[in-house]
This record gives sequence, structure tokens and C-alpha cells, in this order.
Amino acid sequence: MSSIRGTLRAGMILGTLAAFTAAGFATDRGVRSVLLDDLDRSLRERGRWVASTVELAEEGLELGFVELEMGDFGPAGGTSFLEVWRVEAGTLYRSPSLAAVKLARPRTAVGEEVMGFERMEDGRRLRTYHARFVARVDPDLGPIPRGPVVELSLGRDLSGVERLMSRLHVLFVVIGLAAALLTLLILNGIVGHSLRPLDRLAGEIDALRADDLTRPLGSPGAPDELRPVVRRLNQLLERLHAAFERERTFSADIAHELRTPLAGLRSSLEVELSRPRAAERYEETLREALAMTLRMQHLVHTLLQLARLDAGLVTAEAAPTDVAALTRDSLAPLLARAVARRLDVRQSFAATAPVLTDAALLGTAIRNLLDNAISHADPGGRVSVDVLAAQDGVILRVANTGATVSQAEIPQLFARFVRGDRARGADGGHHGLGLSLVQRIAGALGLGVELRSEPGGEFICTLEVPRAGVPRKLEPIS
Amino acid sequence: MRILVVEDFSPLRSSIARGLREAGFAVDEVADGTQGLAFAETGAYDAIVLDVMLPGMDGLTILERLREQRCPSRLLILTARDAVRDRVAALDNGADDYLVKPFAFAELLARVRALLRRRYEQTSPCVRIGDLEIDTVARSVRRKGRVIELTAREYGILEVLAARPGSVITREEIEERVYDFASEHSSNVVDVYVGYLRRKLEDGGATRVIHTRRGMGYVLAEHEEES
Repeated sequence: MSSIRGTLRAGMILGTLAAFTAAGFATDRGVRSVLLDDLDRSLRERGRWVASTVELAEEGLELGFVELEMGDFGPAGGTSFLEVWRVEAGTLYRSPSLAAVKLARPRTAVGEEVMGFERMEDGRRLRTYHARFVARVDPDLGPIPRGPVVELSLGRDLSGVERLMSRLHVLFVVIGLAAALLTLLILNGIVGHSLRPLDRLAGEIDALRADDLTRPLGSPGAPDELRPVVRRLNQLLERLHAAFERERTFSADIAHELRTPLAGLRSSLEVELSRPRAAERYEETLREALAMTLRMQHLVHTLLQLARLDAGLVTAEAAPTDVAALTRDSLAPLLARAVARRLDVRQSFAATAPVLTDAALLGTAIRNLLDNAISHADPGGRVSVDVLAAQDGVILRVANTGATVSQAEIPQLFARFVRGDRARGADGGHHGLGLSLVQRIAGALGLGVELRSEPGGEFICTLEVPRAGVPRKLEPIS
Repeated sequence: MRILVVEDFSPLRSSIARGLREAGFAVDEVADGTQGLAFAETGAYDAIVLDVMLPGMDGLTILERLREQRCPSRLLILTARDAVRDRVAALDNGADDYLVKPFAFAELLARVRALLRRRYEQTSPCVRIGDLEIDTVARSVRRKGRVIELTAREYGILEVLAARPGSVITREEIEERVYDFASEHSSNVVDVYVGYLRRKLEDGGATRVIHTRRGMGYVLAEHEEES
């Protein structure tokens, strides 16, 4: 059963009923045995007393008891029965209550007493006492070595006991049911009360809204057992809230980065079309529009790459790769921009052995580093690109002058949409996604990335490519 | 009417500025938040078009500062965030209106015009002084039902006078509202244009509506004694 309340209730009902039934049976057995013991004792005493009155006298065997002392042996409705036999001779006495019935004579040794049950022909049950004994001898008879052997059976009607028992049964059932009901009511109340904090917590969780996760769960009176759960839930909520905030900031940043160039595109095209213009004017606007389109294309491309890497959709495939050649190829298309910014680009490529890595992903990382250096170097400054052989791989070092970021701000640069030059929307086509992408690729290919910066000095990025950095399986970001 | 555009993305900024200039406004453009605040604090602008995410100082902070200083300019916020809470934040910070990027330029223009009407407490885009009618949306002027052709500069000066009909407006104020920092002009340019305006408005023996207050400035009114 999936409901705690249901399980507890069912358990309570079954448990209470089982306990009360068992208690009822035990009480019934106990009372019955006490009553029977009592009956047996009196039956035995009476039997022994009857036996003690049997005497061998001159006239033969005499029964000394008087029927008056035993009114319950009477013929009509008698509840006690007695039969006495002389062994090897026959019946000595039958009580009037027996009428035609004969009591059983179990085989017994002399001096033995046996208790038993017997059913009479009219259906009544009897408790019986049977004894075989040697009758007393009248001392006047002289020295007779041994008296005759006599047997007696004494019976007692059990219907009185049975009536009492059945009245007790009714009483047991009534008292038992009432007690069980009361117990169930109390237990049910306790279960309800104990589970109320759970209900309250469920209510609080139910009332949570994604845009407001700052209110902690759990009222101060929560029971000890719930506290760890509430604490864990609150920790989870805090993390969830932080993740939502990050997500919100990220999507606001994407919105800004995508909508601003779109707004520029739309606005300049609409203004342009609002009246007829000279051909040169149209050409200028089209060039602007193209630049904005390329900017958006670059952003969308980078976002898609990041999203694919985040989702684990990119598989890295290792192949022998020449880092120097890859760097040279990546730098070539950027040189025109370097020239336009009057940058002094210095390159040095040491002879290096090929490394085993994914050339496409490594190329993307290298392109981003080179692009950053050329975009962020101060106009007329210097960019140095060095490929060096290291003990267990190849090192790429990209440095540019005109650094504006302090060493303490370096960790922030890896966050998405954070730009080192603090100029959002600056027209270099940079969105602050490049280093985030480099970091993601570095994680996948087992590259080492190190940034060093000194405001006013050089911004240096070092990429360590291991000789056989087996590409790790890309895990989706959880 | 003079407008300040604060937007860091240069193609967007220059196209907005160009469109507004072509609609007859004097426009100054700024790319950076701190500079934007400094320009806006002069109070010379009838309306300010302000981006939210700016380098230097963000648009919402600029808004707050300007509202603290009781800046009379009307503020239109440009934002890339369209979530309700961002729009509410902009309006609660004192923006008069907002526009989510990307937007239709015609809508930006219409909203700017609406802000300018509110700036001068006009309820209708049409201003009527005696038999003179000025339609600020169509930027057309009629006298006795006859259309009067005006140049952009002439219309700009008439619009400044028509924003507060019956009040004296100084030459300096007219100059400030009609010329942006980029345009060069001589010191008596307002008098020259008022002369052109009078000639066109009084064509066909109509009465004078732009009156001179010696040593003070100009008044737009049906009769001179009205002022």
C-alpha cells in the first residue's frame, strides 16, 4: 500500500483484532480450566467420601452414605450420578438419577483414580470420576486379611458450567469489541496527529512556485524525524533557486545578444525604406545589415556548439593532429583583422610531434583564443602566438598586449556572456562565449587551460595539449 | 523637439537617430551609460530613448538618478527582456514607456510623439490656434484650411512654439530644442527662421500669430494681447 496513513490504519485494525481475539481465547481457556479444576476437586472429594463409607460388615458390603445427604442424586432432574460395583460380583448401588443409563467403567488398577468425560443418551455431558479401591472391613469381623475390591463411578452434569461459559462468551465478545473499537479510535487519532506535519509539508511543497523558491519549507514545530528531510529539501530548493536564477540571467543575456542586433537590423532597414535614397546610402545600409547578420550567425553558431557540448551530443574522435599546423590554419583568416587594427602579430612554431586528439574541437578552441587576442589587443599593440614542445605534449601560448582584466577577475571570464573589456555590445562581434566554449572543449579533450593577466600588461592564455589525451566521453551537464 | 538616444549597439543607435532626425527631431546619440546620464542631466531633452543593458551604468540606474533629480524629460526604455517582471521594473523605476527589442521603427516614433504630447500636456496630436492648425503626426500645417508648406527647420521651430501656446519662449530655448550638438548654426538663426515662418503663415493677408516680445523671445497666440 502506498499510503502511510492507509498502511497504519490497516495494520492497526488487523493488530487490534488479532490481539483481542487471542486475548479472548486465552481468557476463555483460563476460565474454563479454573472452573473444571474446581469441579474436579469437589468431584474427587465426594468420590473419596463415598468410597470411605463402603464397609464390609457381617451382612456383607454396606454403603454408609444416606441418600438424603445427596439430594442432587434424585430421580427427576438430578445433576449428579453414582454407580458402585463390587468387582466380580455386580452392581452394588445405582443412584436414582441414572434411571436406565449405565456409567462407563474404565479399566483401572486398585487405588487408581481416573477423571473423564461422558455423554449421556439424552445428550447431556458429564464430568466423571472413577476409582477402584479395597473396601474397609468392620473390625468386628475378625482378622480378614483383605477387604473386597470395589469400583465406583461418580458423574456430574456439565450443563451448568457450559451455561456459565456461554454467558461469559457473550460478555467477552461485547467487552472485547467495545475495547477494540475504543483502541482503534485512540490509535486513529494518534496516527492522524502524527501525520499532520507531513500533510503540512506536502501543502507547503504544493504551494511552491518556480519564481519564488526563497521561502524555506518546514514550520518550527516539525518532528525530529522530518527535520533531516526538511533540511535536505531546503538545500535542494536553494540549489534550484540558484539554478533558476542562472538560467534566467543566461536567457536574458541570450535575449539581449540576439534581440539587439535584430533590433538594429530591423530599425536600420525600416528607416532606410521610409523614403527614397541615393544608391551609396543603400549600399552602406546593406553592408551594415550584412555585418549584423554575420554577428548573429556567429552568436547562433557558438550557442549551438555550446548547447551540443552541454547536451553531450558531440563525440570527440582522437586522430594524430599537428597542433602547429592547426594553429597556423586558424590564424590565417584572422590576419586581415589584425592588420586593420595595426597589430604586430609574432608567430613561432617549434617542431612538435603529432598529438592524439580531436582536431575539429581543438581547432575551435584555438580559433577562439586567437580571435580573443586579436580583438582585445590594444590598437597598434602586439599579439604573440607560440607553439612549444613540452615533455608530454604540446603547449600553445597566445598573448596580447593591452590587458584590462586583473588576475582576480580571471575566473569570471569563463562565465557565459562575460566580456573582459566590459563593453557589452562592443562591435567586435564578441559575446563573451568564447572562453566558456574553450573551457568546455578543454574538459572534453583533457587540455590544460591557464589564463594570466596584468592590467596594462599582457593577457596570456596557455593551452596544454597532452600527447595522447584520450578524449573523455562528454557527459551532459546536469 | 530634442531627443537623446542612449544605446551601445552602434548600428541600432545610428539608425534610431537617423530615423528620428528624418522625422524632424534634433537628436543626440550616446553609446555609454555614464555619458548618457551626463547628457540627460542637462535637462535639454524633451524625450530620452534609453537602453537597459549599457556599459558604464545600466539604464535602470540612470532612470533612478534622473527621477531623483526630477528631470523633466520623458523616458522611453528599450529592453531585450520581455518578462513581465523586467517590464514592471522599468515602469516602477520611473520609465514613461518601454519597447521590447526588436521593434517596428514606426512604433518607436509613435511612442516618442505620444511622450512628447504628454511632456507638454497636450491630449490631441492636433494643435489649434485660431485659424492655424498643426498636425504633429502628419507634420502638416494649415491656415484657414489651406496647407502651408514648411521646411523641416521651420516646422521644428513652430512645433516648439506650439508646445506651449500663449507662453513666451526664449531664443535660447528654441535653439536648444531645435538643434542637436552635431549641427552648426549661426547666432541669429532663430530670428531668420521666424522671419521665414511669418512670411509663410501670413501669406494672403492673414493675421500675425508669432509675436515678438522684445528682449524676451517669441509667443505663438491668436492675438498679441492674449499673452
